Amino acid sequence: MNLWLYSSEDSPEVDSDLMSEFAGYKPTFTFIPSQSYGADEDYDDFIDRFSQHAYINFKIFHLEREIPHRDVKSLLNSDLIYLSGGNTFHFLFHLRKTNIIHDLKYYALTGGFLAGHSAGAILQTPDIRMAAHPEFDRDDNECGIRKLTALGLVEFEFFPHYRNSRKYSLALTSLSKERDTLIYAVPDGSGIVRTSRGLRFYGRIWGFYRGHKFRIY
Amino acid sequence: MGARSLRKLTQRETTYPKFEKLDGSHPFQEATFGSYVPYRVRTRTKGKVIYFNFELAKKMGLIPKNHSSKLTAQLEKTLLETFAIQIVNEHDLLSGKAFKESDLKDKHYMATRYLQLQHPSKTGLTSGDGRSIWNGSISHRGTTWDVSSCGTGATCLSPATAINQKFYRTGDPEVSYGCGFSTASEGITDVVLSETLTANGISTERVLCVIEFPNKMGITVRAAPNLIRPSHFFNHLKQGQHLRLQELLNYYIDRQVQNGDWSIPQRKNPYKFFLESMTTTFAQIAAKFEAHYIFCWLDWDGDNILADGGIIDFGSVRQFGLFYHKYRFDDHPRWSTNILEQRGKARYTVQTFAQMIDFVMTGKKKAISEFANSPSLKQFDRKFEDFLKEEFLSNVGFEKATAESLIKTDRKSIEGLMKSARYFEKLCSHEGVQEVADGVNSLMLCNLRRLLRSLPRALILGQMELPIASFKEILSSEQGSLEGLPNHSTFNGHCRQFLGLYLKLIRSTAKQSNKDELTILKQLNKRASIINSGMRLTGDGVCLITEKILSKHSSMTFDQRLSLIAQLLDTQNFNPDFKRSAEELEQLKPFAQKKLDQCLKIIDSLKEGL
Repeated sequence: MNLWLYSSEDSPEVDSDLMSEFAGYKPTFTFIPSQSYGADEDYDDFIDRFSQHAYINFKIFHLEREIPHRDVKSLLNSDLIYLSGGNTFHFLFHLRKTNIIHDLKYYALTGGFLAGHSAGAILQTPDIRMAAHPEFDRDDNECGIRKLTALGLVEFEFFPHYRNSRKYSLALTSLSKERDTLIYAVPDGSGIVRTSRGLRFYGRIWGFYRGHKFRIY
Repeated sequence: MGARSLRKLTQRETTYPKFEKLDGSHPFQEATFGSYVPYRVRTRTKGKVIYFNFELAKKMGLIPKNHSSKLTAQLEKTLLETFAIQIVNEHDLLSGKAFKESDLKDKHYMATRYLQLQHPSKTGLTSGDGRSIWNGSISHRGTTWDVSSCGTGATCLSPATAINQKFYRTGDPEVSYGCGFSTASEGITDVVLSETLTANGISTERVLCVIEFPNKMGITVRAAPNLIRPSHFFNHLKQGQHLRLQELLNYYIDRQVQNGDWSIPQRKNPYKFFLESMTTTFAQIAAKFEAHYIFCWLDWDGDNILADGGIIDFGSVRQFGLFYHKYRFDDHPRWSTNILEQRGKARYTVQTFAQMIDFVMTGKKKAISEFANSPSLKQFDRKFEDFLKEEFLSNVGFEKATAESLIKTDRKSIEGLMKSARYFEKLCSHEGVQEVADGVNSLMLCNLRRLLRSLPRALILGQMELPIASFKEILSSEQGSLEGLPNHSTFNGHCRQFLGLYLKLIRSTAKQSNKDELTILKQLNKRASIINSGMRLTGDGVCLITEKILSKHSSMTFDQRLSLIAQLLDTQNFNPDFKRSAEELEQLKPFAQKKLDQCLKIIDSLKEGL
C-alpha cells in the first residue's frame, strides 16, 4: 500500500518525497474534489502544486456528475489518486452514492498511490467520526449520513489542522477516552505516510490514546 | 441583384492590394515573447473558394465598399494565393521533405500558444493552435482585425502530439483534428453559426472565407478585432512567467484602446481597468448564453472564448432549442461542462483574471484560492444577475428601456417570474440521461420559448385570463406532450405564479407608459413572437443544413450557394428591431425556393433539438 495522509496542501517536504516515487517517468495524477462547488479552484491549486516538480498528466474526476464506466477505468489506471479537502460528510456521501468508495479501496489495496489532505486523509481511516470533532471546529453533516465507515486502509484516526493549544489538547484527550483507537493529531504542513515498509511521519505530530497525549518523534 | 458583366468592373476591383498584408507578419510576434511557434508555409493547390463574406471583407477594407457580391476570377485567385496555404511542420522537416522555393512564402506564420485542458500537463507548455495559424492583421477605419485560418496543417501544439509525444504528418488519418486538416463542412457550419449568432447580438469570430480541397477538406479563414483568448494569458500565468504575461497584457490593452473598444480614463490604472472590463464582459456573456441557450463549453482554461467575450471555435458550440442542462459533450476522454455550469466557469475566469492582474502588479503569484472573495467576483455576481434579468425581460418581449425601468421598480416580481421560468426550463423527462450522438442528454418537458411566444396572444384572446390547463398546453414541449406535464402542487403553483407575475409586469408597464394593458400585450406579442420564433436553428439542425448546402454543391454555383446561405441567415434573425434595407431585400430574392424550403423543414423538425 502507498497511502499519503496530509493535514493540509502546503507540505513541500512530503510532496517532494511523494514525487521521488515517480522519478523518471510521466505519471498520471487524478484529482477527486470533495464537491463540485469550488472544484476548479482546488484543481488549479493542485496542478500548480505538483506541476512545479515534474511533468504530470493531470485529470479530474467529478463525483457529482454522471460517471461513465470509461471514466472509472481511467481513474483506476492513474498512478496517483488524490482526495481533496472539504466537507468530509459530503465527500463520503458521494463516494458511497457512486460506489467509487469500493473502487478506491481496491485500488489502494492493490498498490495504487492514494493521497489526500484533510477530508481526503480522514477518508483513508476506519471512519470519519473525527470530522465531527471537536464541537468548535468540525464539518457539518448536511447530507445527514449515519453510516460513517470510510476506507479503513489505516488502523489509526487522523485529526488534521491540529494546533497544539490547550483547547485542542483537552478536546482530543477527552475524545481519546471514548475510543479504542490511536488518534494522530497532525498540524498543517505535516503528514503521515503508510507503505509496506511501515509508517513515516513528517513534521510535528501528536498522538492521543486512552486519555494520554504524547509527541511522535 | 442581376449579374454584372466583367467589363463593367472598375479598375479598383481587379486588384486587391490589401490582401498582401496578410503575409504571416503580425504585431503579436514583436510584442510578446514565448507566445507562439513560427512556421514556414507553402501554397496548397487544387483549392476552390466556396464561401466568401463580402460584407465582412468590406468592413475590413479588403475589398472596396462598392464591390459587387460576385466572386470574380481575380478575387478567387487572390483569395487562394493568400489563404490556400499549409505549414511546413516538424514532421515535414524531420522526414526531409523538399519544397520548391517558389511554393514557399517569404515570412513565417505563427501558431499561438495558449492553455488548453485537452493537454495532459495542464500548464500550457504543449498547447495552443493545433491546426491553425494566424495569417496576419489588417487595419481599416480605426479597427485592426486579426485573421487566422483553421485546417492549415498539424502543428506541434496539438493534443495528439502532447499525448503521443510525436509529430504528425499533416493529414495523417490516424488522428482526428490532430491531423491538422479541417473539412469544408466545418467551415460552412462555422459560417451559419457565427453569422446567426452575430445577427442576434452574440459576439463571435466571423468567417471570412471557406476554401474547399479534394476529399472534402477545407480551410476556414476567420477574423475578429482581437483574437486573443483568456487562455493566451493563462498560459503564462500557469507557468509563472511574469514578464511574458505583462507583455501580452500590454499588447492586448493597446489593441483594445486602438480599436476604440476601450477608453481608459487618464488616472485609471490600465490593469485595473482590464480587470473591471473582463468582469463586465464575462458577466454579460454568461447571462446571454444562459438566456439564449448557447452552449460553448466555457471552462477553466479560458480556451473556447475570446477575451472580449466572442465565441470562437464552433466545434462544440450549440444553440439549444430547449434548456438542455444535462447535456454534456463527449470529447474523449473528458466531458464538457453543461450549460448551467457556464456561469460558474465565467466567474472562475474572472477570478483567474484577478489572480493574474495581482501577479502582474505585484510580481508575486498567489494561490487562486486567495481571490475567492475578490471584489471582482462580487461585481460579477451583481452584474450577472442584472444582465440575466435584462435578457429575460427581452425574451418576454419588453423593449430595453422598459426592461431597465421594470428592473428598478419590480425587481421582486421579475425574480419570482424568473424562478418559475427556470423551474419549467429544468423539468426533465422521466427517461433520464441518455446517450446522444456526441455526448449525453436528457429530454425536457417544457418549452419556455413557446410559452413566451404564445402567451401574449392567448391572453389577448382570453381577455387577460388563461386557465391553467391552457397555460400548460402552450408550455409543453414535444416530449412534454408525449409524457404529460406534472400535475402536482409545486408545478401548478409555479404555473399560477408565472401567470400572476407576468400579468403584474404588464400592469406595471401599462401604468408607467400610460397605455392600457391590451396595448402592452399586443406590443409584447409582436416582439415575443419574433424573439422566440419556433423556427430557430439548433446545433443538430446546422449539421444537416450544412450537408444540404454542400451535397448539392457540384450543381450549385458559388453565387447560388451564397444566396442560399444569405436567405437562410435571414430567417434566423430574431431581432425585432432589425430592418433590412431595400438593397439587402433585393439581394435576398430566392434563387431556389425549394432548397430553402428543405432547409426550413430541417430547422422546423429539429427546433427543440440540441
